[in-house]
Amino acid sequence: MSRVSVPCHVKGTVALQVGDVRTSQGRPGVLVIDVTFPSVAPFELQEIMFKNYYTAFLTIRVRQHTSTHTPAKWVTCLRDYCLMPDPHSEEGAQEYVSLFKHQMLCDMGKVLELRLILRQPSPLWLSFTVEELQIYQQGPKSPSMTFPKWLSHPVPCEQPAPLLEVDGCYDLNLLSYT
Amino acid sequence: MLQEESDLALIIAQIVQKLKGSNLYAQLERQAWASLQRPEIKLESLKEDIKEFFKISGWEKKLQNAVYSELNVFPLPSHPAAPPEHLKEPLVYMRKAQGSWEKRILKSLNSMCTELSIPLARKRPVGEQKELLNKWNEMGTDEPDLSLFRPVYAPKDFLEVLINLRNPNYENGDSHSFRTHLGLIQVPLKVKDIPELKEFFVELGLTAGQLGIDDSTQVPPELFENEHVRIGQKVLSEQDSAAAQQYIRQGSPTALRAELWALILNISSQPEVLLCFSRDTSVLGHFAYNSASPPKSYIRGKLGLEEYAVFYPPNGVIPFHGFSMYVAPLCFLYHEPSKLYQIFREMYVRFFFRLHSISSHPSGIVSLCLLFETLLQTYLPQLFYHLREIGAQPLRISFKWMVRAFSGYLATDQLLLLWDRILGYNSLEILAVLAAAVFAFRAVNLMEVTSLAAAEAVLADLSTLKVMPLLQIFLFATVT
Repeated sequence: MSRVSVPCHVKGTVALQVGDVRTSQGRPGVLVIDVTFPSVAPFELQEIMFKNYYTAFLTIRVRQHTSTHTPAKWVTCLRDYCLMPDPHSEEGAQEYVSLFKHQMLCDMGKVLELRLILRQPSPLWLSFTVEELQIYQQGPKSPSMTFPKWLSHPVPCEQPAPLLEVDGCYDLNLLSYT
Repeated sequence: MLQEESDLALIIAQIVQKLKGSNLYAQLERQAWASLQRPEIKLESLKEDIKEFFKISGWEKKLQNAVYSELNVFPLPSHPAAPPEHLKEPLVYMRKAQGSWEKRILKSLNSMCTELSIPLARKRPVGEQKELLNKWNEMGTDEPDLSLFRPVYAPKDFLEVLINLRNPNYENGDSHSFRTHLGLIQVPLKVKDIPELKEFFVELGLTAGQLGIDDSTQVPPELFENEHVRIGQKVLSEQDSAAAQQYIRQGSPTALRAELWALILNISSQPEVLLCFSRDTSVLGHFAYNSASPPKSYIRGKLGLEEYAVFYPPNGVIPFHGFSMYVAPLCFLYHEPSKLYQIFREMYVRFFFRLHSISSHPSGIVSLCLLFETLLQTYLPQLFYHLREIGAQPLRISFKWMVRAFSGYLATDQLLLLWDRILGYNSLEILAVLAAAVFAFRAVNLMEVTSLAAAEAVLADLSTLKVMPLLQIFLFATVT
């Protein structure tokens, strides 16, 4: 299914910590990132994509549009999703991650706002966050099952055709540093 | 589409893409065309009949082996947004460290060229060409004068680089925490502990037969050896790559080893032009999943012009001091140069390249060093502490063993039993486990030494060691 990127505004990260951030010894283990969609109507969320940076667990809360006049409530749609199997070691620390609609705990039909709650319980890391955050809604449906565009042009595994020689010549002086 | 289904579809698509360019694909096509002549192939059930023909004639098995080979070698397709360098190495600081290391090697090679006034490559002058043709058949015995050349780098230079690896986002402070690692490697890669290793190497356990233990002269062959050889012969006759890999975890009988390795590494039986490793451009393919990159140069006089850029050496691999030790043991197995070369090349692009490039891969040298040190610190803390106190960090001794996959340090038959398991488990972690097991074995002597030199002396001669008992005792019979 094709997808369309939804322009979003990522608010600054807020650390949840008891006491004064500047004077306390420990590092905050919980960060909150609010994501709003200022110029977009409530939409159906298809996919959340980001590059991890040392976040161990991710919880996502969503606030959706309601047809009644009651104020929209925050609902948890993803709880403690594990990004790093061992918070003290590098595994998963810098991976690219996609989270899909079907992985969410609730229906994501009319998203207004998202709140990402990042947790990193290990005191060994100086900082943690998620980067390159992108939100996608469903694109125009196509009759046949189409794969994402990049699949028909997979990342080439081989280097560009290497020249063993140019015009029968392999006269080389020195190696290049670029 | 569910995530798991689309992941599987992705893997299938990637493997099909890779195999389409292979010799096997062309052969399968030819076989399919030729099979149309056969009476059992009917037009109305063409697809099923050809598939049945492939199954009976063994071509399906060849395809299965090729797919299995691809799954073993290439990493699973990563996230679509991940750039190619992420596939080579996901951690940015490791990529940077590898880049700096490569630059140092290039500089070293360039200065050697400049000092000795020798270009990297040039066409042989006519006089030299004639001379070479005259003595072509005696090439092996006549060596050029290499006295002026020094190795581009030695393993100990590489170790210094690994010791200085740091993650900028990691707490590298002086204060001791629960994670203080007393060894030389200071990056927090995930390594297995003994319970995880016992699970991973379950076939090496005390209740399973092993070649290297249960084939010794005192053990009656009816207990294990005869049956194991029989199974090995069956695996070879079935030509099943996956079965061979599982089988060889318990060791390979000497008589079957050459064929088993060829089956596991999926070496074609087609005679191939024997290329000098440095000139084999097919090796460049492995740089897709190697954190290293091939060095570049420009044709003389065309510096900076991309259409005149070439890789140097043509295979992109700059060897280090001791590199030939990767090949030497294979000469005991293969007499035919073509097969010997293919086996070596496949072993290199699957395993050995990880021993001299900086990456976070579990079989990469950094992980192996950390695994070794962690095993020692956790399970032989007294020994580790003692060696550290006398200025004999254990890794300084064991590094050279691991970087050469123990080649040149163990007796050949023992080395081949070790390399059987590398193939069987598709991992180099066994090198780190063996290194720790060697220290455990000589622990009593090591506790008595008072200097690095003395510790080196205790561990200088490994030629009498039997690797399988050492590994088995360390993993399965030591009280932890």
